[in-house]
Amino acid sequence: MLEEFLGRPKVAAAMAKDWVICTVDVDRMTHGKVINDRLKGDREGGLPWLAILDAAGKELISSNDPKKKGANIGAPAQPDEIDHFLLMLNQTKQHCTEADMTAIEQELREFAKPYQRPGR
Amino acid sequence: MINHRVGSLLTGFALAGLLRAQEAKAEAKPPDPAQAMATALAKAQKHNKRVLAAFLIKEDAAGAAIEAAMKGKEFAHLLLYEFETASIGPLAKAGADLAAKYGVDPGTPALVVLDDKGKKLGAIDGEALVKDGEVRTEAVMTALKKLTCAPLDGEQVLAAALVEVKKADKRLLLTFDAPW
Repeated sequence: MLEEFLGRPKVAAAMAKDWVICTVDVDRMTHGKVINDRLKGDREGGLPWLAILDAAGKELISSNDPKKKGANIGAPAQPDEIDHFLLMLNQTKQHCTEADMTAIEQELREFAKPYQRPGR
Repeated sequence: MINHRVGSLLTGFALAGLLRAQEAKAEAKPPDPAQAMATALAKAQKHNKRVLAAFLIKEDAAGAAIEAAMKGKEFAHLLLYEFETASIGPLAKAGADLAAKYGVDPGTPALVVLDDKGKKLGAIDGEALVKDGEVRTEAVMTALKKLTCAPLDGEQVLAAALVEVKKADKRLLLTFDAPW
């Protein structure tokens, strides 16, 4: 779901201004699980788990949402998960404009609708 | 959150769900063979996988049997993890063109393995695929496993991404995921 969203043309164009996207497959890549364990530590996990790093490899923010006791938002679908994902982007953007961020938000809120569970 | 990793039970559910979704899509509209191939090649390139081009006539007993075998738990797991599957109906013009390109007899079921550039690495057809009306599932899976990609090293993938981040003055959105 996340890969499909990030591949949408408008999203990919906006994201490319600030983020290199790298996926580590914990099952198929050697050392994939080791890296996941190293970076996630003992925080709540599950897959997908996301982190935004600087060029030195230092974590700037992760998909563990402090507003939800550190729960992992995973692939953001519910409104509160989308809010945290957008926070991750807003806190780490350097070049994206407001228009870029608005485009990403609009695309995500629309894209996520079929995946949302009722009553949340 | 959409996915949590809780072990093989969920993997089974995910596989079943994936197969149901694929069946629903297939019933909705038969895929264009050329488009199916292009999509599979693009995904294979992105995910370090091979393409399995399945030249099957669904109305044919052997084709239906092979398709059913591919939905078996272990076979489906192998396909999910190591292959992007392109279903090619060899009777359609585009399917026949692809059959000719890869040296497949359009009247005979065949599984062709390609690398992510579209180069043919191997093919399984004839009695190697179906003998006396039975799909040779174990032998086919063994043959397919020999043609899978070498796994990427996650440490190298991460290191290369960080080099790109530094060069481009960007940040790294790192996602951890699994095929299921």
